[in-house]
Amino acid sequence: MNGQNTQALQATPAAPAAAPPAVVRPPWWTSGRAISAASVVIFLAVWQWVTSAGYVEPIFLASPTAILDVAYDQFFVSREIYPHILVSLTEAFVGFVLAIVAGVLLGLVMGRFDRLRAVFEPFVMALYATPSVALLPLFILWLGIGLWSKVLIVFLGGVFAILVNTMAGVRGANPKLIETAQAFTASEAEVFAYIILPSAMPFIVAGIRLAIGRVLISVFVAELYASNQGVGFVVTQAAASYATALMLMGILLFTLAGVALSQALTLIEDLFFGRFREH
Amino acid sequence: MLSAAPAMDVHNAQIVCKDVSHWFLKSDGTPIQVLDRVSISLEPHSFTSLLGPSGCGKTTLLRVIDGLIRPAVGTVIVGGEAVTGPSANRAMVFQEHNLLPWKTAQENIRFGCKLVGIPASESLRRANEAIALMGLNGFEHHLPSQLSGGMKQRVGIARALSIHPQFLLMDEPFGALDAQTREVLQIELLKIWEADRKTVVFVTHSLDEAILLSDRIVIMGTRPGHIKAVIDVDLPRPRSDDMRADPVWTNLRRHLWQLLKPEMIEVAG
Repeated sequence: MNGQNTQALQATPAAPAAAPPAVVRPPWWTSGRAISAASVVIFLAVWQWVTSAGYVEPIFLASPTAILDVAYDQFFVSREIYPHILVSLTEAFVGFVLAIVAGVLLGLVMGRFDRLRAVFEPFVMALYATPSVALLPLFILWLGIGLWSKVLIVFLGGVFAILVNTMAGVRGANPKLIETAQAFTASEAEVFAYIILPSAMPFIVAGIRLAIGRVLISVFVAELYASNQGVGFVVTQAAASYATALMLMGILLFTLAGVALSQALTLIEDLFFGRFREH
Repeated sequence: MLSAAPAMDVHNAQIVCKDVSHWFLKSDGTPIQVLDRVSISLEPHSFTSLLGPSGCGKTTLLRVIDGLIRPAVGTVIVGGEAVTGPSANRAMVFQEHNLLPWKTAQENIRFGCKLVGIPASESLRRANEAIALMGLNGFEHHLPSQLSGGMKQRVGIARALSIHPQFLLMDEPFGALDAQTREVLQIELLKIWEADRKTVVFVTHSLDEAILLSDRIVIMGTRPGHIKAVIDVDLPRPRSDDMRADPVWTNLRRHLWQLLKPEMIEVAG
């Protein structure tokens, strides 16, 4: 730029700062939340209309209000559903907690120690690839149709997703951060606690999230296959007696459980692990 | 300065490498030599740059001095003691800052203190001192992802300084920064160093950076990494940017370039 231009630029009086244009808030009904809510309401309305107008036989699809009626009866009048919910929750809870504990611990160890990984990896990969519910007949042979065969199935259904993700998280820990800690005289235990575990945290949470779906599938299939209690059993029984509304209510309980677990995990993640997300 | 310098034996505060050779294993399992009979002796309270093209083993040599890498052959003595691993009297500053992404600036600085066993109350005091020294006030509770490249490197330097090391080992600390930030941080490092004169080993491949900062420049060559020349920088202290026009500077720069040029061309080709 030559001198003349510079001068010309300097000579131009600065334009007064323009007032910011009024920021218009978009109307509330265009927000994502509102649209999602509307979408659900319209879906339910169409469902109700299709079923109550007689386009679909009630045996094939119960209306939302019929499902609500059944739910009201089950929860507040006959109160028959509670023992089943308790059984299903126990199976899911015990199996899931065991899966988290074992999956995280084994994943941490296998991720850090190559030789241990070599020992266990063939079995982990084989079992991860096997649909765990296929092992149910075997487990019923071993443990009967009570709680523990279901716990085992739930455990196997969830543990490998957690284990494999944890292992990936450990192995993905930035070697430069490990070296940095070592340069500040960190011991192997300190490297593990301060670098590897926090680095693996997002992967562990992702593994647990993946396991939620598998755990619910395992509970359901196990109860469907052989049991005399549980929400899965209720669904099977209802289907066998063409009680479609009750069957759908049972399925919705699984849906609610899945959504609730997933939301709880998101909450825990936000509260405690937000910082450990990938940056 | 950060604190009163700890009482130290001047004769011990030095770095000696004797016939250090080292090999890495390539991915196919064959060894490749990275250091070939490297011998250096660094004065206490001196600022030494290791200068050379990529692959000359300067970063490896720095890690050998720190104790992060045990050399296959040769001995390293720092402060009168044979190096067997990292120690609290040496602190590293890394090229890519290497801050923990889930810790704030202050927590990152205190993390180094914690690892070398400094109690929490003392580490807080030291971290705040280092934050003030490195011009990080107002950023102490920012996560690294919220800091600029220069700021992150300031935190990296603060983390190293707050363990009050006798030796500061810097691995191309400004290599990833833009030119202006780099010059600002060079000048700040000069000021900090000239205030208490720790023994510094500084890896760089910038001629001007080496001249500006160093008492002595060790020029390294490649394949395998070896020492080509050791050159003293006869510029007075305190140094400043303005000395770039000094004939001592320009002559030294030309001389360094002549020594490095064949290596650089080989690497670039």
